[in-house]
Amino acid sequence: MPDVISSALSLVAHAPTLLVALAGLSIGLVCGVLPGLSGLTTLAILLPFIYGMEPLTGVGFLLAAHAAVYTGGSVTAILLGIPGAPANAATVRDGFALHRQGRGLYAVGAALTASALGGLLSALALVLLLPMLQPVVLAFGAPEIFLLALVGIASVALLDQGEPLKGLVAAGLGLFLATFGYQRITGVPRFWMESDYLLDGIRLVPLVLGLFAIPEIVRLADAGGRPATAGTALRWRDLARGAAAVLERPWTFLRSVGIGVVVGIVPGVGGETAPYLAYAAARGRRDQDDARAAGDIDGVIAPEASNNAKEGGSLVPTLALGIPGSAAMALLLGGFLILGIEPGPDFLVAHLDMATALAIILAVTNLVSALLMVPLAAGVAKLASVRGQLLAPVLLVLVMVGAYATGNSGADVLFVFLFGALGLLMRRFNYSRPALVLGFILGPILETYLHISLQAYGPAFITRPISLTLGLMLVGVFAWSYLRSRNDRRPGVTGP
Amino acid sequence: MIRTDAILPLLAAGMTLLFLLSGWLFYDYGWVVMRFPLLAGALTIGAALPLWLRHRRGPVEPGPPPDRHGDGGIAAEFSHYLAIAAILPAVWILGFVLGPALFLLAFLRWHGTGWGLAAAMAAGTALFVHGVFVQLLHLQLHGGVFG
Amino acid sequence: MSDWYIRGTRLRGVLALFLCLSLWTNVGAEDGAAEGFFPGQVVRLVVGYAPGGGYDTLARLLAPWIEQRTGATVVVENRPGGGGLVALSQVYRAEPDGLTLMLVNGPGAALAQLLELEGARFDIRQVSWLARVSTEPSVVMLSGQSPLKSLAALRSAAEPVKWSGGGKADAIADTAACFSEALGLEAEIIIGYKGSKEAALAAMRGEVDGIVTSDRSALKYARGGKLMPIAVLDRDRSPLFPDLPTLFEAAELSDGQAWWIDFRARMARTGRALLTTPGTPADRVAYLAGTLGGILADPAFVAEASAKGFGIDPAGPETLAELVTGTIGALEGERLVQVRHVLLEKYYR
Repeated sequence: MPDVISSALSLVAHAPTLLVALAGLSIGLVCGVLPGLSGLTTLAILLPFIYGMEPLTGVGFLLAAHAAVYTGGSVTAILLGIPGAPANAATVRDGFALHRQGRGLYAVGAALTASALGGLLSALALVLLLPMLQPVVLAFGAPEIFLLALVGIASVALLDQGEPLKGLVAAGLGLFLATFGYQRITGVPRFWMESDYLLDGIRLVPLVLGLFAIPEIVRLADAGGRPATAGTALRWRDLARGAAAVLERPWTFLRSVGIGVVVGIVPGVGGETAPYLAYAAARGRRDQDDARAAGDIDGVIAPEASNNAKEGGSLVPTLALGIPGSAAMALLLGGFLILGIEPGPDFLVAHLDMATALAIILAVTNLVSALLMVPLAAGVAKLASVRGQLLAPVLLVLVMVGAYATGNSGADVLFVFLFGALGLLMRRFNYSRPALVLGFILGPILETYLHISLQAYGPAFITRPISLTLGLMLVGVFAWSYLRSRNDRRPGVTGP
Repeated sequence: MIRTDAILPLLAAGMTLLFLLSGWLFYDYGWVVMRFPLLAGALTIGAALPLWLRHRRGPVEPGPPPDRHGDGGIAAEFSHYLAIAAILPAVWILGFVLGPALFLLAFLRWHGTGWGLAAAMAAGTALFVHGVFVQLLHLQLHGGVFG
Repeated sequence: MSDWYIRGTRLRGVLALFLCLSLWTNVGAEDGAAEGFFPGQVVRLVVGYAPGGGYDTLARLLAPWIEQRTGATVVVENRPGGGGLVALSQVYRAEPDGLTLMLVNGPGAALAQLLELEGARFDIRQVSWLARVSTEPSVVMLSGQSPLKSLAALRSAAEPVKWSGGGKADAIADTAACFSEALGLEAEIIIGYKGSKEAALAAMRGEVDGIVTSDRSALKYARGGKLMPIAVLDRDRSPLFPDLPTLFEAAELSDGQAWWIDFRARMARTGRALLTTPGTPADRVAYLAGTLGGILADPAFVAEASAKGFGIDPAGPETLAELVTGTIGALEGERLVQVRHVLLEKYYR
């Protein structure tokens, strides 16, 4: 082990590699801050640039860019209320609320620290797990994936807001929207209305942009001559306090990192769900379900820790088995192939030092991007004091370019606006948008893996050990939700 | 009269029902294809119905607190939404470089910004989109109907 | 399109002159005309999949070579959607000027047309083939976790054999169907996995008994030790598995049974191929085909490709056209119904 690490370090301590990684993470930060450019789009744009680079340099570049996106996106989520990338959407709720109370930089400090440390820990987990990973990935079969997804959606639907019924409507709608397009188990396209675009169903990026970015842009336009966010002084001491907050909440933090790593490792679930699950786990313990309530810093730490942690997690199956843990990892894998490397079991035998070097790059990226983000955050905060009517159209243009660039498709842009209208309604009437997004992401997983589980194992699939544990967790989620709503009905508890 | 709070459950349930019916009557999907949409639809409609009924009868608890944004309600929000949606035809006709510029100009002027600032921002946006997205990143952006 | 928009009658004369000129250059066209056409033009090399995948990488490998030999600027365009079918349907309808090329999944397209999948809005027999770049014969692999370890075991299995796949026409599931049909196996194909890699993972886990995949992928999985190759589904052995017998060597197959393997193998031999819009002028097609043939035969290119893991197995447009007419072109009546049944329904619950 020690010689692997020293060999990895010598690979990394190579000026071009470091410089390129630095460039990558800077680009990632900026793309993260710009709403409209998700991590996936960023990777897709950067992929052509790695031709001709050395393997570690090229992949390190992509990895650094991708990891930095979520760090950058958290600041936009907090200070502007617009998620920089779909994975930052869970941060908006509490982060933005904190900002409006004047504690924006407190939230930013917490988010950046949680991101940096979360990423660091997951890089460590990556190094430790790589050699012994195969049994873990192989133990997670279709039944486990199905139940994990079920627990995820139940938690978010039932625990996220005070009104379980609204959460269920949102989740149900998300699940239903997910059915558009090819059904994975039969290949039949559903509800495609004879449109080629809809053969592949509704796309995630326009959905998230529409649901989260458009309502905020409308709000900014509405603010007119007033600053984008009124009365928010910037207290820089708050940054340090925010950082301390993460260390004061070790349980929340570690649990969120754990969720990120595990969800990242399991191929099939997709890393995007990690922040929502972590958020639900953290916020599910609230006593009051007042939707207007002051932002809870847990609601910032949890998603941010997990969305950086999932990077390390997703690298595990990608490097160890050559199986991408998420769509972004698939692109990263493509980067490897372009540079002539084929990740997989034999890759680990021959190139364990390269894999470790990547983990080191990941760790360093997370730290450096958090540090770099501090001055950038000041810039973003300045933006927040710009007049709403000036900011709105500019953000709108960015969102549109981002939406179009993802698939070179005008239909994507149209859908942004369609979902924008839905997002407006949901925000106004307090329906959980994260629940809809999660329902959308998990829908195909729930349907497909239940089908596969039944076909491959029969109904007995639930008796597998990990499945049983997950099943019990599911029961726990339902019980918790029921008890909570009963408690709220007791006399003495006021408020909607 | 439908209270505004009932819009969303009604919309969700209605749209779901519409698509489910289309699946059955128009597309003629079999059971395997329809079973998950039916489940999802049942969940949505099943949760939306009590919400709709509740809001139809009027508020049981005090209504939601006055909107924290202080705006004029849902109508105002939608008029802003439509104003923003005007960027779509602009981009479609003029492409991603000129379309946003024109939209920005119109939007800012309409909201009372001075000509100077509006023109500067419009030009800046066009330059940014062209310089960064088209030239630097080689994105293939739609060039408009005449492009 | 806007070039054709004419404003005012004064320009009609110019238009007439222009038309005469273009007609004149087309009449009696020789290679010279095609060669002179491409320099300075923008050629789009369309890929029906997202960036980073095998097709994308191969296209980006080819692009600079094509640029160098034709003098045109080659832009790789990713148009993912419908499993590559949407892009092909679009290229099929593009301007037939030789400027829109596509690196296509030959067997995938042929299958999609055969099975009349939604989104397949083209006739693969009409396209202007340019060159085949590579082929990948299929290899049957069995899971280390499965009690079935050989062909004999498969044939005498007490329970239905389970195969995994991504979708019905993804070259994994449909080849498994043809294989099962050839051996007369009781089988179940479980699809829905997100791509071939996940399907392979399912086999490694023991969720299914095995998987039928390309030889390139099979090599990777075999090295990992969790999947064992059993046979190659072609008449010739695979260069990647010189010691692995073909199905014909390992088992006695009747003519009827052999037909299924031959049918699928012949379709697989269209491989990753380059094509352009039907109706493209013959001289341009010939020029492009010749240029591409030259590139694919160039040892420097072959070395570059194999460094990235691609084995080059070139073939010309006539071969491709023959393969297509020989497979899907030859199916009709009873046989067509039977093929559709086996590939779409028989092994699915």
